[in-house]
Amino acid sequence: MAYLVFEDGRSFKGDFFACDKSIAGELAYVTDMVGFEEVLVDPKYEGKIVVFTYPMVGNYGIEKKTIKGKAIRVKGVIAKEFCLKPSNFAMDMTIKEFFTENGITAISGVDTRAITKHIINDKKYHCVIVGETLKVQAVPFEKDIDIAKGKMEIERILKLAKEEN
Amino acid sequence: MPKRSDIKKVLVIGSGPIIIGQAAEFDYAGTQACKVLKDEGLEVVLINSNPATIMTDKNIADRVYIEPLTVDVVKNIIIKERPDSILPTLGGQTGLNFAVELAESGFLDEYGVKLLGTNVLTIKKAEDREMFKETMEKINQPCVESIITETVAEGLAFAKRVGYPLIIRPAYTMGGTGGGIVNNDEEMKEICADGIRASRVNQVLIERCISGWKEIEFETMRDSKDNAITICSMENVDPVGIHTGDSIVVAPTQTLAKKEFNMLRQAALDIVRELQIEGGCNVQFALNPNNLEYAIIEVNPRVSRSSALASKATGYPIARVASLIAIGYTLDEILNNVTGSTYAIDEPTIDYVVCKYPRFPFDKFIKADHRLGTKMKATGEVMSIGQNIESALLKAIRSLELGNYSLEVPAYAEFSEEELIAKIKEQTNDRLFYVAEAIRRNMSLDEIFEITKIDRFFLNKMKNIIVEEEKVKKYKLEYLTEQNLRKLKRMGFSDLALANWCDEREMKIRFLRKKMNILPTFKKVDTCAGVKEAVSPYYYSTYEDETEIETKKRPNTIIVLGSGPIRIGQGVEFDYCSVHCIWALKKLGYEAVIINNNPETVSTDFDISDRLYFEPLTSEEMWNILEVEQPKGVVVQFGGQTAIKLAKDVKSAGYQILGTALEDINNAEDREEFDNLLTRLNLARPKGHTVFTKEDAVKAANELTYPVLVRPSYVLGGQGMEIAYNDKDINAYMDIITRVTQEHPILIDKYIMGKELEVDALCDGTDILVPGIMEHIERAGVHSGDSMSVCPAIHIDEKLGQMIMDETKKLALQTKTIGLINIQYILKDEKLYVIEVNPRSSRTIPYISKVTGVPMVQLAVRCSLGEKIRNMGYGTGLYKKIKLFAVKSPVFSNEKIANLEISLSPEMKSTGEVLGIGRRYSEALLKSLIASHVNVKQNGGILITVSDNDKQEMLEIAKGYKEIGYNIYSTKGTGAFLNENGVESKIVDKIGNGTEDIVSLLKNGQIDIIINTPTRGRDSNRDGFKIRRMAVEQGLSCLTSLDTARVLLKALRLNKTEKELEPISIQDLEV
Repeated sequence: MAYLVFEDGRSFKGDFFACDKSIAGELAYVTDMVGFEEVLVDPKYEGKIVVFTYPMVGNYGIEKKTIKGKAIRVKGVIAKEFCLKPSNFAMDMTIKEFFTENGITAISGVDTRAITKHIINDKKYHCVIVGETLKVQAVPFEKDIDIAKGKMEIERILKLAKEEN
Repeated sequence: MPKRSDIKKVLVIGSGPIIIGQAAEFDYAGTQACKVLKDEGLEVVLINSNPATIMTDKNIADRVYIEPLTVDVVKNIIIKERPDSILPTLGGQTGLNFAVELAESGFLDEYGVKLLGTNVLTIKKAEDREMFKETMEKINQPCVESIITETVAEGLAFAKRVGYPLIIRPAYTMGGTGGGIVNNDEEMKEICADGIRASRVNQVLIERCISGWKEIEFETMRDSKDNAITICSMENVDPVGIHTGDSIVVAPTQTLAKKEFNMLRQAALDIVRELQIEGGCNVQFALNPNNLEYAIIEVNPRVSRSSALASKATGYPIARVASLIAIGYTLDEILNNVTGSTYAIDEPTIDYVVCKYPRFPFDKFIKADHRLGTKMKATGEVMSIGQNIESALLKAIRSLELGNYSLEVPAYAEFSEEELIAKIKEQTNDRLFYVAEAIRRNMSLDEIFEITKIDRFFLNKMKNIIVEEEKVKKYKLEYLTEQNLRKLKRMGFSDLALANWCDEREMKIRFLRKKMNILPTFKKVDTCAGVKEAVSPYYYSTYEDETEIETKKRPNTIIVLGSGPIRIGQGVEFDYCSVHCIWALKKLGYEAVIINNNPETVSTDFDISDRLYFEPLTSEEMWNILEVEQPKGVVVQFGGQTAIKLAKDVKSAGYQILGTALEDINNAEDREEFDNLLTRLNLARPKGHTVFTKEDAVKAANELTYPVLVRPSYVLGGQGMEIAYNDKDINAYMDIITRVTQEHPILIDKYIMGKELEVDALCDGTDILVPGIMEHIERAGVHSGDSMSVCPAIHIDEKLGQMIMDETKKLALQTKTIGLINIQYILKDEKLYVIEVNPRSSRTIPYISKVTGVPMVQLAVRCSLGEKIRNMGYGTGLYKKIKLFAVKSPVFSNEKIANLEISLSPEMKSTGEVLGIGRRYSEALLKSLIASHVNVKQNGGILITVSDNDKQEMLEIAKGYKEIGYNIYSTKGTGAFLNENGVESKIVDKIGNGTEDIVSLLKNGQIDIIINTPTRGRDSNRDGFKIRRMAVEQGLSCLTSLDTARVLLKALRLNKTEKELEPISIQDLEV
């Protein structure tokens, strides 16, 4: 279980995929329907958490050559679904292997269209991705903005998660 | 660039009747084009022979010609209307071919007509094999290497150059016989030689074999300023080797990495730029799954089936934009109506996945060849939208209405593994279900991939479905925890499939799901993945967090159930009715919502309804929408059987059906109730019995006296209706049908060989209105969808007309019809027999509305909402008789389906229809026959071979053909009879006997028309069947009813050429 919580308190429930390190950061949406590995190394997304609007990410796996020698820029990745059994002749590894190897936090199973619309319509960019067992203090926001509401929401979710267990 | 000022009046060419390979997608494209041209202030002239379409409606174009689509007719219309331009890229291949012919002959220049959109050179570059190859070579785009040769030596040399495997296709052979795939020199020598021999011109095409490669398509759009974009990419789940129209297709591409994607995208753009396309263009690629090698398969410089799919898949209105480009606009000037804030130059991006699944006619054509290949066999298609492949696929399967609610076909469990593999290798329309069964049995995906070349990505998605399915089967309700059920619903499983596996009823699962608060959420299709606010009201269901449509009571909203995929018996005419229903509701001030899943149609265009739900037409999906919309009522009478089937579920959910009530619909469809009703009304119907055994059948038939109509009361195994003339026929029929134990009785009715009459009536509970009485040209016993028909009826006098009106009124009132009702009668010796009553819209509604000017659907909607006919301004009773004659003819796709019995029977086979309108009956007949591509040469050869029952009646007809200049050929029996009776006829040998047998006669081109009435038994080994198939494959006119032969003769006697036929527009049809 993983939670994406916006600075205004709006939250989405999903699942960690591969690495379950909690992170905080600024969200950016990507509308490309192909080329997810290119996004991961795109300087434009330095330090960002990217959300893919296209629901299935990693269908053709990763060809190492594509990103060889390039630094990974994104801090986290959000998708509706990551492909577990990708298929392409040039594939060297799956996206799961790639995330694990590089320690990139990723979550799936969230309503990515709702997230995208929240970014666009409500101009909310700051968020945290947390697991249910993680302490709130471990995930500070990067910018000094009004995060009281967000923090409260995280606490509420964590409390709920504990009760559920 | 703004709109060109030199364009004022445009001729748009439609695509004609629905045939396999050219379906409703062109009605959608043409309608969109006409609308946009009219909105731009241009005068629009339209020609299309298909009366069932929206585009041939009075209000779509300023001048609508429902006329045969031939070069001479188009010329006549140009001469009459003098348009300054012609737009040929919206009518499929038909329209394109005309444009080239008219331009090349200099006709367009002579009359000062400009060709809009793509020019002739471009069309030829895309269509002409050699020119296309040269063009592609010039820009370094690889084609599939091929040669045309007459020698084996050249074949071997070609093989040396490009390597094996190669495909050999003989030129001009019947049914593609004599070709095949060769893997080495030995096979090449043998098969190439065979192919050359088999070909009529001793020629073969040898082509590099790329079967098994991925088939990828791009839809592109380019304007005169050289702006070019790709609108949508599509990946065929089935590899190259299965026609894209028969393939399961997903959009966007799934298994292409960016490198591959960009390579093909760039290639597509380079191609449309080099070809100087102005408008939409489809580019098909074959992509080697093991490297970056690819080849161009085909380029279509026009709107197409794929562009309709791309339009609906992305929300980008391809036909509209292509039309605007054609009249001078550029992509950066055309506003995107879906967002209202972006422009047509922005490439759409989508945040869901789309699945297209073809609809095949094999539920009707049980005995036809089910194998798929490079020739298209599907009649229609469905599209579904989901958040993952699994849900899109499962939704598509449900949308087909073939009784499948999952990937499981229980009967397949009986196949051994070997049988299953053999089935998969056959590549039939059911291949996916065989593959699913193989996966269920843990056959390795690699092995399945080796056989099918379906990418492992898709096989894995199927496996995901099956793994879950097996868990549900094993643990049943226990497995359906909230978490699991949510997962299953997200994967697209239907409540009904889950219920079946859990041995529960569907409602139990639905109840459970609702209790767990697992409810569908509706998401918008908006061309921009949610990044811009969309104004388009186009939705699909998911099981996510956020829904984009509010659940609330909507007392001013009415839901219209659409008609799903195009199939035999349910064609574009029901989409016509659905769209008119929506328009009528909107006009009356209601909010009209439609549910449909057919991407080819006008009804699923984003700007037709107030809200469009692109969803399967199942009870579950309908209930979901009803619960959100909470409408005033639901309309079921316009969506064909698809909508009628859902009527009881509308009622059970507590919603109102507008129009004829559910009980009354059921009563009319129930045979026993229907019989009671006729008895009560003292109306005659053909006498009949129900029997179970052969003995009883013979007894019943003798009591009724032959001929009798025999049919199962419940159709199983495709054994349909037949006409029996003697004990032998009955015995043969019963032998076939009782091979399977019969739970349901066999119905034996007196076959009344009379005239069939048909009416569509409007009823408000008090009065009726009948726009016109239609008379079928073929006698009773031919399915009404397959018979020619004429309006007004020719052989009905005032007294008979009154009788028909009286009976129709009784039936309409007694069945408590509110809205439309279709009734079929047989007239024999001045007595009427009722043979069918359907309390809903029928196939004939579009045509009867157009020729009489009575807007039947609109009036029916108003009746359903409580208005009275007498206040509508069209009077009551029988409407004024039209002054012209309108003849409807069926159009078949027989040549597309190998091994299909083509003779007319009580089982429907036609895929489309055309209309001929004339001032005289014979002229209307001639137009209609021309439009349906029946041979209308004034003289030539006619082969007559009829059954014994028909010989006497044939005599006069044969005499007539002889008189107008036809040479008569016939087989021994028929020939002897004709010669004895003074009609000279050359007797030809049966197939395989002698050198001058029927086969050589047909092959040599000596025959133009064949009149062949079938003997009973329908055995595919019989000569008659072989002759009919051969006729179809040679493109000859094969008439299997004497009535058709008689009217053709009547039309030929008119002695008029196409040039001499006066084009009549719908707007001129004043009554």
